[in-house]
Amino acid sequence: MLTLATQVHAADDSKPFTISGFGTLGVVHSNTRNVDIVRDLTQNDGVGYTRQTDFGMDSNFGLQLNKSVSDNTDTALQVVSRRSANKFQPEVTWAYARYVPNDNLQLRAGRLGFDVYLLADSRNVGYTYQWVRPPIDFFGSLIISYFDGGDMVLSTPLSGGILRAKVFAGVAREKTSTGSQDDFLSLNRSRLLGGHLEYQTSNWIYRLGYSQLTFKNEFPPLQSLLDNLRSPYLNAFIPSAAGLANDLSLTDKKFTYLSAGVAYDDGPLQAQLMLNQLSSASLFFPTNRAAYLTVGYRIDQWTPYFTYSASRPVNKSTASRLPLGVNPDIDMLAVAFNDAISNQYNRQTTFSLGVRYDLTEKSNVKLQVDNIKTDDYFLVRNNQPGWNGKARLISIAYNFIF
Amino acid sequence: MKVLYHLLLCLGFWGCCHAAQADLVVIANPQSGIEKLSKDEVINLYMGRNRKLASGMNAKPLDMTAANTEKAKFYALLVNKNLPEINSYWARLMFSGQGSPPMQVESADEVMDIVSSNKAAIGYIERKKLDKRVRMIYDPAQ
Repeated sequence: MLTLATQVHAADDSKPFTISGFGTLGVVHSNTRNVDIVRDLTQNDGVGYTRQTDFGMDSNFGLQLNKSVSDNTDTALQVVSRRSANKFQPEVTWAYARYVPNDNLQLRAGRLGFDVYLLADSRNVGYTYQWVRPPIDFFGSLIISYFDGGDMVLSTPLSGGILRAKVFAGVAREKTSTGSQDDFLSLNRSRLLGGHLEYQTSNWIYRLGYSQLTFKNEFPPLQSLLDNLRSPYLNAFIPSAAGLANDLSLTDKKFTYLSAGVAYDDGPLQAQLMLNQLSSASLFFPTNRAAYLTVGYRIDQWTPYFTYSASRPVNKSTASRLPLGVNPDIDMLAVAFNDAISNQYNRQTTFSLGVRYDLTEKSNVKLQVDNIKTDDYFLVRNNQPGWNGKARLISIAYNFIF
Repeated sequence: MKVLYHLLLCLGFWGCCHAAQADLVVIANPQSGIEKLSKDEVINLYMGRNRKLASGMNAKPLDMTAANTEKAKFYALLVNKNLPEINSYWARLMFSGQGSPPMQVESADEVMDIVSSNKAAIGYIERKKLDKRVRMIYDPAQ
């Protein structure tokens, strides 16, 4: 025991830290120029309208430094460059210290990944999963990848498997695109809280999760509508208008993620089914649900896979509660109100077929075809009049770790 | 007929490789207090899910560097996965700050040296390399 500890220690001393990293070089081609398909809502432009063949949607590069401080304590720093609200400007996605006093407890503090769903905190690492990118209908609306705070994982063996409970709390920092060019929603100082329960056996993982985000800042495109609804002039006619503005506003409103997932992994076979529900206390963001099912089967170095994913608005009522036909200005306001809400409906279905080929032990290349059908425009950008709601993407991605 | 021949050839090939894989055994220190491990316990140790054994002690699994073919055999035998899949698994945990792979050593001799001098160390070696310095605690052939 002592000798092993010394050896491990010696290895640590000879290297002050370990450096590792990951990256993806991806290219995507869209069959339509009438819309931009984005990987997630943090991306302002994507493939199709802006560029019919695009290298930026999936490409990224990450570097990680790990340093062991003692047998129970280690630290990590991760920097990732990817297309997001800050273009490709590198971001610190991890900066934490971890304390693991025993097998049953892990404590971390600092900048941590937001793993609201299975795989959510490793979704930049294309090498680790079978797709070119995590299903957009499911992961695309996830606007947080890290937060500053702490988390705790308790785990215990339970009838042949491991039961884990995780809780976390902190504040978000990132920005997300609002859908209009150069207009961003800042999540800065928004409070985040959540946890999950996970049970893992040799072949199965089950997870139930809950998270909530309390918005600190207003959604910028709403501001003029809110100002109008709060104007004394309008409230003289319609006393409920100001209250309507408060119901619509995002400031101090809670946004909740509920998720359930099951993954099966048995030798060459991998399958996952995930479900989520996103809802908010703001009238502005109606409840949306999403799910995906994916199955892949490895044959030597080849892993063909398919994925079906879909998102749906739960309830499509945009009653603005403003009296119509009284005054053209109020009518216009009612239209703006309804538009603001209907832009947040999320109805999209994707069927993907692909194959991963393991090039080496630390690199792979993937080819994927996505058939996307969009009925509400929450997850797309720059949609042009006359777009039929369909897009087909062909993607090739080279992924590596080191 | 040709199809049948190929099928038989494949089965024969599979059988031969399976037998070859079964030549690996998992070992521990004779003073470790560990008599036998179940396949699930070995999987839990090597996939980083649980270090604590039924005996109450914490085990430290040793792995081989990727250049070693025994490593590929071991994971094929244990979880029916190839090395890119094992690397994917660990990369996912490492790059999400949830754990790191077992300590890597260069050779079977190094495994023998460390296991024979450390009560907590667990390793895998070819059966023919077994000697009195270590105890076999998991035999996939059984």
